[in-house]
Amino acid sequence: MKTLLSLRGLGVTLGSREVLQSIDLDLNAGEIIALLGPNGSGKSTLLAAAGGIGRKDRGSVFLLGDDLAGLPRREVAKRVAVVPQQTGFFMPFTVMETVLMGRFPASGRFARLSPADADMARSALEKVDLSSFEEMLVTDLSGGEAQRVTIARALAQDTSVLLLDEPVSALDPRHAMGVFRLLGELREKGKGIIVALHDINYALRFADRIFFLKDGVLFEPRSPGLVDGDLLARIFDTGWRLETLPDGERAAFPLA
Amino acid sequence: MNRSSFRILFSVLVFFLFASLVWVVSTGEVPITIREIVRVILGRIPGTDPRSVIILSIRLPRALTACAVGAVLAGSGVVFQGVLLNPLAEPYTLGVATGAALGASIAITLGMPFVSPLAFVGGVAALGLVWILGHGGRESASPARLILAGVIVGSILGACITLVKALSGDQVGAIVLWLMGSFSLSSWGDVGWSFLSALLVFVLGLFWARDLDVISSGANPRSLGVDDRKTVCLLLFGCSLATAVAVSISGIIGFVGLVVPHLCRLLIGPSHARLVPLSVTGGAVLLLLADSAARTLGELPVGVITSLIGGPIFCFLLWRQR
Repeated sequence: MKTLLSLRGLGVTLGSREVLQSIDLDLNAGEIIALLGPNGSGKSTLLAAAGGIGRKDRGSVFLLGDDLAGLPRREVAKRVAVVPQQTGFFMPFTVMETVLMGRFPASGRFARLSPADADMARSALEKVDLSSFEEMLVTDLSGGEAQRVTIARALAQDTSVLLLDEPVSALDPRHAMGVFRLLGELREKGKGIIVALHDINYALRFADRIFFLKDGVLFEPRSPGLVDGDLLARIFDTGWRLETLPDGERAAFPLA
Repeated sequence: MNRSSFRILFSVLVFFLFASLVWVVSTGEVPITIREIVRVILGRIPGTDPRSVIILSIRLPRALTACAVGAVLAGSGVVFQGVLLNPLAEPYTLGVATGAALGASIAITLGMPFVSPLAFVGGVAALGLVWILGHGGRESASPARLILAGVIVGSILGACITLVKALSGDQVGAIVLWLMGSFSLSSWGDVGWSFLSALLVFVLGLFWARDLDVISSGANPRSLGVDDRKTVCLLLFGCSLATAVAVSISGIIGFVGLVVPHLCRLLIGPSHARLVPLSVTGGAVLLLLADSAARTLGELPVGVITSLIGGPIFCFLLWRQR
């Protein structure tokens, strides 16, 4: 199986706090990895470092075989797209203009965006159910709509690797399910996906492997079927009930 | 707004700029017809003719310098606002203009023959100070921190200007006049320097238009392939350099860098490939007409005119904004 992204001994220190301690992780083509852990466990820091947009103090990130540190920024953005946790839109660009920015890395500084670029942006908007929003201003959108715009922008980048930091935190259930269906389709196309999540049930249902992160330490990955209450209790410091539903899916509930 | 309506708007504005230029050059104490202007420029009227002297030595350099300085202020405003994610950013809020003004005040007090070099040193030193303070030893500076640093440095430098004025004795009048901004003594050298500055801002804004779009959209620029640290540094210093040159020529002229970009953004949206050309042209038109008004009203300081026009417009824009 082809490895798209490799983290080797990745470490990040902020002040005196070791946010990530020597992380090793391989993301394969056609795979969805879910990243779970309590607040402040280092999920966002890990994704940012892996995507080359955040701090990295030790170790290496290999992207499609090349050391990320040696790649030009634009080349990195052609290989990996990052969906941030916060959208933080500032200037009132339209939804279409914003999604088209996802085509900038591929088209360069001066090349005109082609009709093909516009088609990719439109198709990305369609996939997140925002087709009719093209001409709306991003600064007028609701939190959930804005989050879907950032997902569409990442899709428009058309990268092999997708890193998503809690992409459904502001979405209603229908659109959240839509995003996971979409990630499933991308997996079928051979893309590699890491998604940081708070809701364990999405991970149990949609991920191929689940990595748990606590205090900057990455635990051995588990397949969703092998996640048990003891492990969850150890990670989240609270009790859990795991049930198998009539259709065979498993669901986890935190205990009070 | 789509591409074709931008083109129409831009063409209209460029035409308006040229029309205003001709109008401004032809009006004054000695009215000169358009035909005569053309003949002077083509050299058909001898250089010793009073009309030739008025146009080539007084009105044309003055009008062209006003255009170029307006373009620099408006263009830098667009870049500063986009890069710093702050709608209030412009050369003045970053302390650059105040630093240049202090340099110029010192030069005038000391009776130095040229004001520009010291103004330039002052402007760049102020930006350096704001940059260092804004970063506070960290790798990157937050937009809010940079503006805060700009305001603080600007206030301190403003106090220094007052001090220089108090200590300057006979020169205080000259300093005050210079600070209020004027193009009345513009030379062809000023035209050259201010046009170079305008060209610098224009080229920076257009070459980095996509990077500016990405940065000003609020996205993490790196995730879209933009080397933000290098880009921000280059754009800030380039535009500060241009501003310092402009300020050293014209004195302090407020609100152009704030009002023009905001109005243009309202008309054609925030995309920099359109915003930069439109703002640069708009700034040129605004300052040309403001200077003409200042001249007509008996050599008022042009900074007073721009503030009196720009201030209320900006208040209106602020009010409109949700």
